[in-house]
Amino acid sequence: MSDLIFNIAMGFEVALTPTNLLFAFIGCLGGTLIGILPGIGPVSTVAMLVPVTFGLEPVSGIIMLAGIFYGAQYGGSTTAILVNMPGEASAVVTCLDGYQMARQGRAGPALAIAAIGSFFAGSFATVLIAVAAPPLTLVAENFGAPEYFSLMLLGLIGSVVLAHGSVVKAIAMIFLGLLLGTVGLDTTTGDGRFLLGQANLMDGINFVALAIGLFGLSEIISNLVKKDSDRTVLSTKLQLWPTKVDFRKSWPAIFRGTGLGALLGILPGGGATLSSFTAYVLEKKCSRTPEAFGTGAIEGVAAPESANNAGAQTSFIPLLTLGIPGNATIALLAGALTIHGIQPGPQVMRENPDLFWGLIASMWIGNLMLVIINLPMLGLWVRLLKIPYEYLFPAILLFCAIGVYGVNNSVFDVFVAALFGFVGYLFIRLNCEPAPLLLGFILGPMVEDNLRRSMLISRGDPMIFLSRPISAGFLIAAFALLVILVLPNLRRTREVAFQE
Amino acid sequence: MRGLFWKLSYNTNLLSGVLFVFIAILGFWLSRDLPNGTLSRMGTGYFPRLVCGGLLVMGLLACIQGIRSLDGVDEEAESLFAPAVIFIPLSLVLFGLALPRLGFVLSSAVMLVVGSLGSRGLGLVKFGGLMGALIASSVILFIWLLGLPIPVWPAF
Repeated sequence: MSDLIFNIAMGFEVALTPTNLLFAFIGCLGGTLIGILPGIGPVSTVAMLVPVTFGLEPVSGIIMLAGIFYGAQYGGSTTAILVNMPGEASAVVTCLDGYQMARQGRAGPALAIAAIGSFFAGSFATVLIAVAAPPLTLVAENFGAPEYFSLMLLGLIGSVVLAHGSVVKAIAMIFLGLLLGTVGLDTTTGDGRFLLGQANLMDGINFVALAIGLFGLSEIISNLVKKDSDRTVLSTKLQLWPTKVDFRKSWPAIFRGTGLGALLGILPGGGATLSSFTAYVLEKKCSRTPEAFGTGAIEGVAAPESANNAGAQTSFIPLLTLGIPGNATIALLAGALTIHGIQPGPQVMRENPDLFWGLIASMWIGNLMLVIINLPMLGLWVRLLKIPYEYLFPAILLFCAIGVYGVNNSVFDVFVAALFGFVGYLFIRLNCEPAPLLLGFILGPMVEDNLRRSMLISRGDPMIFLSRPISAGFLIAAFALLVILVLPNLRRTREVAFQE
Repeated sequence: MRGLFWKLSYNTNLLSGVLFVFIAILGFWLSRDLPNGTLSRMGTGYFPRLVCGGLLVMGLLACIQGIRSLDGVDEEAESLFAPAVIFIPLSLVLFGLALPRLGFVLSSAVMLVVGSLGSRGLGLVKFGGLMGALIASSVILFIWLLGLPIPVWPAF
């Protein structure tokens, strides 16, 4: 206990100086302002702003990075809610209910709950890291390839729950995502796959280009094809603050989301992404009104936003202990830390405890800044919705183009985004939801890697997934989930059959 | 006059099923030269083919679902194709092609003009003003302040 207080106190001693607070504020403000532009997600935002910190001293630089990180993250959630554009995989879930809330004139409560939930989750995860980083690291280190594979399978099946409509099509979309994820060099053998003669595809399809195409551009097309009446905000009266009922509904969701996110975030590789997806699924299962999900349920925003933030925070554990970044944004952050002279890995906690705990404290300060900056600005963000679409969409189009190009300064990525904009529109028209595809795409390379390693360990015996208890547990859960998903479908078909 | 073709073209299950089957077959064909390996030592082609197999099965299932509900049309009758379907992707392609040669200002202008062909439009004056403001603020924010390495003007 005294260790814990001592560690946190040390962190704040390093981080809490007026200059550092100022840098945290500037970082968070910049992150929010850039991240809130539709089409420029957290990855692009962090990529654009990171170089600004290079001139600073390491500690100030890291604190500013933390501000940028949280600002960008929240900016991404804001665009997910206001214009249905997730800049990052973890924000995909926020779109589902957040955008529906915005269409009902309830963008204010959605944004407020997202900020409050994020802050609560971030604070909790900070304490959790301090308490549990060392023992939890041991647990994560004990996870072998079979456990990872089964866990990811569970995550993928879970993403089917996100799609309303056909289970078959949702599973097909997962396979399509897995297939797109194999494009590029095979990490094991170094051979190229599906390169189509393009050297640009060697590193695989760029995530940002894919996401902006599938979500951002296809949404523009779909809005332009629709009639005017369909796309304007349905309610004329805009609500700014959550009501008492909203709070009462959100608190349990925030608690559950935080707990789940903090746990899953620790797992290296996709932890932060998985956590927001799983939190949404859990919340839907816990809810007495699961049918409200997808139509603007505030729990559907509160849970994944809290989980996302808690997961993002705790995914610093695998980054700092195993050197594995949990998602694209954290990977960028890891790169920036290296430039500031911190090589993420187990040695940080041991050799530079002041930097380690300073980083943890900075994360909390960045989180606090986010609430301070964004709650007063809610009214401004919500008013963005009142701009007629004829004015808004050229801006979104331009920012999408800059956002895609800016990640790698690659014209090829712009072409990829254009292609997936068209494909994404096709999916919308065919009632195929893109969220499972995106999760398949992200987890694909890790699924394959862990499958291959498991098979190598067991010399080709698939029973290895069932003979190891943790792995078997994940698989049983995945199977149960699948049965639950398919059963109502069977019943419905039978009812239809009986009617005839 | 709702003929078979009309019914088929609004049957989203059947259409997506056909699309999935087509992509799966394309995947099999493109990965035909990749070594399969064995279960214990999977080659480069093993996982892609495994995934294509899954996609094929799901695509066929979707087709069956679609055929069984041939009369059930679950889409509101809208035309699938509108100008925006072509002009939005095209505008980005043009942006990408023009950027290295014409610089940011001109390629953005091209993109915004082509992209707006798919909408009702704002009228020349309003659109010109919006375009000018957007491009100018983007240059200031992204290129001057954030230092993105994008040429502003044509390189002649």
